[in-house]
Amino acid sequence: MMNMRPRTLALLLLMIGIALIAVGIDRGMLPQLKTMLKHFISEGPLGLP
Amino acid sequence: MPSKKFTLFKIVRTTVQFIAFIILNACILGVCERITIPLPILYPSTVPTTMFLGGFDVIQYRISHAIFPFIALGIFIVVAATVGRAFCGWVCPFGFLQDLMSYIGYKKVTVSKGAHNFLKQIKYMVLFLTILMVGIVGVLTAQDRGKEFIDALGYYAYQPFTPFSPSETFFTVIPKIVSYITSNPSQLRVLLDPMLLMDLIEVQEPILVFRIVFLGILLTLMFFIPRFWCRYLCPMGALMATLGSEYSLLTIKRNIVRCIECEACSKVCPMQIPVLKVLKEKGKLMDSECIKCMDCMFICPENALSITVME
Repeated sequence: MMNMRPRTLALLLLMIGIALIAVGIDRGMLPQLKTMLKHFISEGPLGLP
Repeated sequence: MPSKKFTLFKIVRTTVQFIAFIILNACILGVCERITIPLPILYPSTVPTTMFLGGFDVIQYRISHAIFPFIALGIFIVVAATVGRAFCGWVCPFGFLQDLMSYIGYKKVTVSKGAHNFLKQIKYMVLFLTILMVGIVGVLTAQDRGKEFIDALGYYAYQPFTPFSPSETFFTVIPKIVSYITSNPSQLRVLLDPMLLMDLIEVQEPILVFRIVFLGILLTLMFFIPRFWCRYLCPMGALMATLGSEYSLLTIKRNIVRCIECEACSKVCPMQIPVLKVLKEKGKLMDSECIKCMDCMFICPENALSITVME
């Protein structure tokens, strides 16, 4: 890892960061978004059952 | 005497920091919807007007509640990999306060190399102790054990660093005390009795005297040593440095033909980085202490330093 070029290391870190954000959104925010969407579809302006 | 270019740049950076401060406190402008995005800055989430979350508060809170801080850590790594510690230099309100203090400072003091190298390790110790503390509380919480221990820690169990944070003292506690005193005109009589005043406030804010004395010492030091807190004590900066801000895509490079090795860049650096030495050794300004303030670039009389991205 220490022999990596700084740019490669930065890009690797960037990918790890994006992956962590994606996992975080999936675990934390996605269920909330799903609930909101369900609520919006069934009881919101769309009024679907 | 700094050049016109450097003075102009300082005005631009101060303006950006001021605008960032207003955006962070958008509630002042009437936008009170809180965006739960943690930013890599030392700004307490307890400020009533804040719109974003202070990153270190989020990290402490989530780990101590046995929740892995995926999003916060992800954001910090992305920021560290792209712009390094630029949030310290351009957004952090406590950094802004330190810059303002150093502008009106009487005389700058250069810390000796040995002392500087020793002192800058303290922030990593602060970070380690905080993470260790919240880690222990987090493990106990996850296993549903040690309730007595957590109760005994009380105020310090879930956010052990926050009570010591001068940023919280300056932006939350002091305004709270001022608001408390001014909103109760009947309480104004307590101003005449310091002991009574202390008793009243101590109930609301434990270790208040320590906090105010600590803030006072830091504010005094900031007059003489630019970015004293960021250099030696800030755990948020230490976390960003640990997450790889040294390898950020945005950095500064040197044109060796233009450079006259006058050391102006090293002398102006608020983090006391030997800029020229690092540039000579690594070709780019790769240093985990760099807050990307760009002072070195604009002080250069030969325009030998320039920004580089992904090079």
